[in-house]
Amino acid sequence: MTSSWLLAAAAVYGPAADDVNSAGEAPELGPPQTEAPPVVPALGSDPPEPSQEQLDRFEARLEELAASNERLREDNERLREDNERLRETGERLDERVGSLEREQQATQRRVDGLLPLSSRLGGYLDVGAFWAAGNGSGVRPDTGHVVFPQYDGVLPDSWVLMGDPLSTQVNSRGDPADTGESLAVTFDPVDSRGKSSFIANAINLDLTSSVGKHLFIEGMVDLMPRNRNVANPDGLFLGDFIDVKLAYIDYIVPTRRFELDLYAGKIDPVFGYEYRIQESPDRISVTPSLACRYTCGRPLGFKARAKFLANRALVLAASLTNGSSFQEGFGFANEIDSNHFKTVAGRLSYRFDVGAGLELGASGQFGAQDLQPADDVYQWQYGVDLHLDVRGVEFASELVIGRVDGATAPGEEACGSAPCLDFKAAYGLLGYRALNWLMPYVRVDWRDALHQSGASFVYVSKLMRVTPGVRFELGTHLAIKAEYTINRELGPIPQFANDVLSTSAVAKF
Amino acid sequence: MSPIKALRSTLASLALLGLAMVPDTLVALAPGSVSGHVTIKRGRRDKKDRSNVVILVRGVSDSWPDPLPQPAVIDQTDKTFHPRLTVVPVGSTVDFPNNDRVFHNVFSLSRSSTFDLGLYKRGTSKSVTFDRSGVIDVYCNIHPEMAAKVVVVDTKHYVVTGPDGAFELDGIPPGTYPIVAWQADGELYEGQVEVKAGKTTTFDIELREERWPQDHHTRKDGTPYGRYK
Repeated sequence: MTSSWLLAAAAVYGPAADDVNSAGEAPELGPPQTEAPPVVPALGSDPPEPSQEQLDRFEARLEELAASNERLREDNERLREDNERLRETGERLDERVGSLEREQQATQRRVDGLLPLSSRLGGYLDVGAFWAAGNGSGVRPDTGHVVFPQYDGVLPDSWVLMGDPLSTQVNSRGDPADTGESLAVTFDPVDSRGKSSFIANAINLDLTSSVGKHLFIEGMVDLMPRNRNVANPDGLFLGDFIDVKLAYIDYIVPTRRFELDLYAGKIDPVFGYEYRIQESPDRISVTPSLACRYTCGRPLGFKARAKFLANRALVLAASLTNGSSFQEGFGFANEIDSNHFKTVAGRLSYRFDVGAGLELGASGQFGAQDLQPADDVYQWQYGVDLHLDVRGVEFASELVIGRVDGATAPGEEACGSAPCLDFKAAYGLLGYRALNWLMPYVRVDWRDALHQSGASFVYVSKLMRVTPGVRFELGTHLAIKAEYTINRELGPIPQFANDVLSTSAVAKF
Repeated sequence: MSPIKALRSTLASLALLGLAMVPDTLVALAPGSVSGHVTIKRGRRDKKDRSNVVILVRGVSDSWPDPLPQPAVIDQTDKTFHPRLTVVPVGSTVDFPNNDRVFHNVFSLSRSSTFDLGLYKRGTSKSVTFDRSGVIDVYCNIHPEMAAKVVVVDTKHYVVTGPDGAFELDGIPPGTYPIVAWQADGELYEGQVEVKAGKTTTFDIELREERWPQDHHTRKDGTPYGRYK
């Protein structure tokens, strides 16, 4: 049913679709083209009666519009419902995401609370094979006082030793192939007697723990599979033994302007550079340099290390320890002090922004001589070091000069109460990482020392070593190293067979 | 006048009126821009290098950015990430090629993006696509000195300053928006900027950089790197 006003309005304002021309304009209403009388409505007056044909057309048009309108209404309703569903889905997803985030935060808090202490057990296994020329020892006696006649009548010729007892080192720990006739360095853990041998250098265990953000604990031991001679009354052949290398607490002081670490316990020294890379996986070469005996020892005491400047390039480290940074086994280092005067050491370094870093450092150390009771018998040393790492080239160099005063009682031979040592040592190591897995290297080191102990012995050491080698890295857990050390005595000391071939396979975990 | 004519006449008048109003409408819709300078205080001094400050205008409608058409690259050479700061729109990919002759293991524990690319050697590369905005700290699990930051932005209205600290952001619809200036080693700046139609708003920002920035981080498993690292 259509109201009359609507029909009238449609007749007046709503031209049929077929009355609209191509320009979209409605034609002017003019005189009728057919039998229909002219209809010119006047607004406000009653509309004229439309013809039946018009009514039918209007009716059809209106029905069409009504159907279209219904479809649009249904579409609109559907879209509204879709929109509502999407909104509800979005809200549900938002709630779910929020819930998951809250859950994750709570879990993280629980994990953080449960694990204030994060620990890691690492370490490595170092096995290898070696061969040392001659009897495996780096020293020979001056038989008949031929080379150093000044000791004739002072010491028996077999107590005048030429060479370096540690020049035939076979592993990263610095164990010599044999100590031979050495009188000062007598601990002979390898005792190869000049024969080639396989060796399990060390099983290293390294436990590190962080307690909170500011406390770090480390304990490191080497398990040493070695010979055991139960018949030896001197105990020089210990058999398997454990070497506690590090045992310290590190307090990371919460400072803002600089970084400060305070260490207490059996710590790394602060002298030079090589001590930082003395563990087998870290060391490029198989064996340590001739200078390492003076700089790689791990004394007991306190240490502070501070890093300054925005890029932490300036590092100052200082320590107060029982003994010096001499290595155990060399005869001048003890863990428990035998005097009151402690050893003070320090190092200042700066890292330049060249490649991965160019570091220059200067170190010094002063204290009472180790392994003797007097507080006024001194031992000191100083040195400089350099380390460069750029574009696969690694270069490290170090010079250390020092003196152990020793003590002489009235009427006894020089250095009779405490041994004396004057020493200079240096090395330069150049490595080139040709490939990810291949790094050839060469080290040149030198040592000039006089080690004297009253009427007991004298060592005259003046030598240079050249050690070419190659390091293969198979991934990050396995390294294989091989090197050949050419030992050359300098000065009046005659050459003798003491070259060394050493290899090492290090599996890190 | 017939009703149709009256209607057409009215429409024509409205059209003319509309045409008369077009310039103002267009001006009202014309985007504006923001330009200015960043200064960075370090202690009492002005820092000369004002680069790597990220300026963002937030809250602009329809400002979701398109991802970069090509991946950004953070190179690993000499045990250093180059560059140390990378800014990418959300959804972009960053490549991490290893050009060192040692293995690297790139990882991040940041909330916006946690990933571990594992060990890989020289000449190889791995990638990460960043789907969430935020600041991502990137490290190497082997070399603690290696550190970089990736800033993932969720707006196309951002810019990174050069050494002179100058910046300009174009194409911003008129309105008042939050403006943020982010730097790696210092405080975040947050303010409001009014963008006027067809005009450039000058907006200078002063930041304060930490004199002694700290970046203590652990390996990917939360344990410390070691004694000298």
